[in-house]
Amino acid sequence: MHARVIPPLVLALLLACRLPAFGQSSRAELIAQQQAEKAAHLAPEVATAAEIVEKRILSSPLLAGSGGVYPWFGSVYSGTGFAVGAGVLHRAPLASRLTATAAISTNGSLSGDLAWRLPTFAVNGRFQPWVEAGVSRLRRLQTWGVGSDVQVTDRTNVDFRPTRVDAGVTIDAAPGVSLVAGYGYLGFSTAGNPGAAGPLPGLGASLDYGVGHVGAVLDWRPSPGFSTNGGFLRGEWRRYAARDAAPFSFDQFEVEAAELVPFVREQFGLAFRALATTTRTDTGDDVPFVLLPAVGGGETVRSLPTRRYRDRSRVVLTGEYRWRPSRYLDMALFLDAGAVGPTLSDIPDRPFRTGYGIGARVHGPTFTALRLELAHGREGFRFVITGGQPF
Amino acid sequence: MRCRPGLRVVLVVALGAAAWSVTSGATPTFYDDDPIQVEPITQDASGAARYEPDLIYQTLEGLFDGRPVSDERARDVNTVDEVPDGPFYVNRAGHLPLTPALVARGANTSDGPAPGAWSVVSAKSDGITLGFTIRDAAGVLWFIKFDPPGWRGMATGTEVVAAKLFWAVGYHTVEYHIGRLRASDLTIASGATITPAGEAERAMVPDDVGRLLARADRDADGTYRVILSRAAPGRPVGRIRFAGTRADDPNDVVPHEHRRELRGYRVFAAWLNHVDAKGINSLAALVTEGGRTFIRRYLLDFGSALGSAATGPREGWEGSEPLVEDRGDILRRTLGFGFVIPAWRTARWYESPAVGRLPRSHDDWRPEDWQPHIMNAAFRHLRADDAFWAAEKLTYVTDDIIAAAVAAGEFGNPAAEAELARTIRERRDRILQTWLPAIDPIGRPALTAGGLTFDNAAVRAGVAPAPPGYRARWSRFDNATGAASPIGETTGAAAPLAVPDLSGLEFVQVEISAVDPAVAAWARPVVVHFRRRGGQWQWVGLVRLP
Repeated sequence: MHARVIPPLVLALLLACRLPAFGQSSRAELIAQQQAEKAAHLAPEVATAAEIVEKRILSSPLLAGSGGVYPWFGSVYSGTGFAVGAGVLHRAPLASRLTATAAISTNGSLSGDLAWRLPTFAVNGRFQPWVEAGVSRLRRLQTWGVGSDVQVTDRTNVDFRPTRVDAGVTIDAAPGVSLVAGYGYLGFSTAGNPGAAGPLPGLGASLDYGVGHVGAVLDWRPSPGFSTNGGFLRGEWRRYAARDAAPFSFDQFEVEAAELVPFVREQFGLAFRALATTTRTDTGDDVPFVLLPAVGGGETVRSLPTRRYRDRSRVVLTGEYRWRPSRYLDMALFLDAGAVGPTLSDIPDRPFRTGYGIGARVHGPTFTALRLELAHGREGFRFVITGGQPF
Repeated sequence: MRCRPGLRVVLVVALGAAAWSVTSGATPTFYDDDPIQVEPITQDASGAARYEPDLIYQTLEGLFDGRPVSDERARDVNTVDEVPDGPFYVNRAGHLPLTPALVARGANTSDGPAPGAWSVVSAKSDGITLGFTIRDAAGVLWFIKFDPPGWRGMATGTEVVAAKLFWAVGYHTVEYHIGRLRASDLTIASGATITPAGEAERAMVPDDVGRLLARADRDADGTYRVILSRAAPGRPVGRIRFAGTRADDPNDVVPHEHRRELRGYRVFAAWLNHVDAKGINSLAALVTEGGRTFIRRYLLDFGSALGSAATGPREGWEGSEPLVEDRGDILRRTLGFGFVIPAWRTARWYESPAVGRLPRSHDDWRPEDWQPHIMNAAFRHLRADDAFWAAEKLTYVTDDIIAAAVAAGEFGNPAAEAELARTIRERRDRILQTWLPAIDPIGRPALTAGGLTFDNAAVRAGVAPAPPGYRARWSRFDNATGAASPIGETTGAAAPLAVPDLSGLEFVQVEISAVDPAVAAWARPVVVHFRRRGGQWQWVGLVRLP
């Protein structure tokens, strides 16, 4: 069969109007002519420009988790504002990876971090060793003094310069049960004016610590990153042993529990969380103010500024009513309460600072990418932007 | 480019031609070889190269495709409104004498992998579903997949059932077998690599097999129930597109959104709740048959169908909502503080480890509202005549055939199998009730000495009452010009209808409709054409919806 030569525009018109090519005596010939026309103009089957762009974006280390350099966004330390930076990720066999990031925040704070997750070993890779190190230069951290009665007007700003190295192992002992143990070095200096609330323990000092820690988590949520049911129980002990006989050695104990109660096949649910932290100093020692348990901010009482109240102990209680407009969007009405005091037994006598608000969480099946919350309390409105599920 | 509406009506209605048909005064409406039963493949496609579309791009394109949908008739149908056999589809239901045994065999041509050790060529370790590619002792490539822990039979059995039924309704599928695996059956082929989640690609080691098998359901005797799918014949060159044509396939001249079998795939996917009906779960393979090399399209990977979501039981939303919900729904539910509750949240379910999660009832199920995870252009272009075409195929999928397909899944749980068969029957029935009466269901007309006979698929399927009568408007038809001149009208309570004097005519056009039907859509006639050949009237044309 010989294809006729038809100007492209005419051919296009004919095809568009579904008029025939001329001269065929059968349907098969007509189709054959269309196929012959196409055979003369074949092209490779390739990705569109949009698809190429999408693949490049999604294959970046940030989104694909592959190796290489990637942009970094987040916070170098709570209370320092939004930060941008860059990271580099190197992957190796047996879940091993090395991550390095450097970032600067909107208030000029700097941070560099290195995390090395070593190859897993033992049965089915249950043992995961790791090494982490970081250096930060944190500027103008808001501080209101120690105790539950510090006033808004007591606010002052301090600089905090920590350097840390930590090494340990995470053991997935059983499904939902993990143990963490590690030991490392923490050194820091602080500088600034103590403000009207009185002296801040350790302000102006340069301290070096050996820090040992042991923790256990019992987690019956489907995923730690995002869940609509289940709960967890977490306990941790940290020993801060000050070097050079500095009078700042102490132990910190923390217990956290949460339960998520779904209704109507997770259409909505209630979520509860309790967090208690306390410290015990060696005789005559104190806890440096930057390491004191605190209340206020996106992880505790959201209507308060970050670390609004500090003391040697704290209790935080949170309740949320959650509903699910989408598989990728959860909404919540929440109520937070928190108090600080010298000891846990003092907490009932201390005023609980409360706040309430509404939040939206953009998430996937196993992670929470973005958490937006508007909270209100006695000190007004606060807006929280962060990642990860609240609990 | 669009034709003027008037010209379009003349072209389509007056001439009653299908997409392949031609409609000018210079050429006939019907050629001597109409209606074609086989899609011609005239060009060598051996130059086609492999192109794997990006899953995420496909997903985004499907979720956010705002392009308008034209109400255009499928272009690949022959002149009697049927899909010819071809690289995408083969007529089976309604054409072959389907039997339970035939459907249970489906595309299988062997008894499974050859006895002996299986050599692992590669592993699927993307963290979602688990699988191996192996080569059997005879050198044949097979893909192995498993059930998720605690759901023995669900993913593997469901995949077999769906594959058999998709084969029955006409799609190209590959060979599937249920088998058993011992870890010791597997050896690692030299050069085998793996890319574990969160790791770089590297050579596979024996520990990898154990690590992957730990994620599969294991029987008490240490063996694993697996599904084995044989590699499709030919060389893979990509996946099925659901829009446009493949640029390097010279035989691919009908944009895929205008292929009826791809539009109708939506109905079949709804039937089996094959929510994962996307391009990545298909295959385009270069095959050589009859001296011609062409690209054949297969449907694959039915693990997310019926009560299975492959990695667990079907989620309640699957089939009711797309992967990302409608923006209006999200807004309403946001403002509703949780009290705007979608119906699927409160539906009643049957749940079994063998078959997953199935609706207890389909009385309220609306097939037209069914949603795959990701919509595609062909699905969007589904019209009433496309859906009728698919539904009519399902009238030939009997309860026995469904039972045979379910039995092929070898679930080992009679109660669960019964529930699965019930689900498939109920969904079929709801599709028949929905799509057969939605348009004039006249089909398979014949013009004999006894009169004009035809089939009413909706009445035959028992999903609509017979109308009080039928009307046939007869016209002389000029095949050269496409002009139709009325010559009379006959009516009757049922077929056969009387035939006016047709002496001297070569072509006749008949518009057949129901008289005073309970279903208003039946008043719109189907337009059929007959050609006299050798003293007999041959059915050559049917337009159900211009």
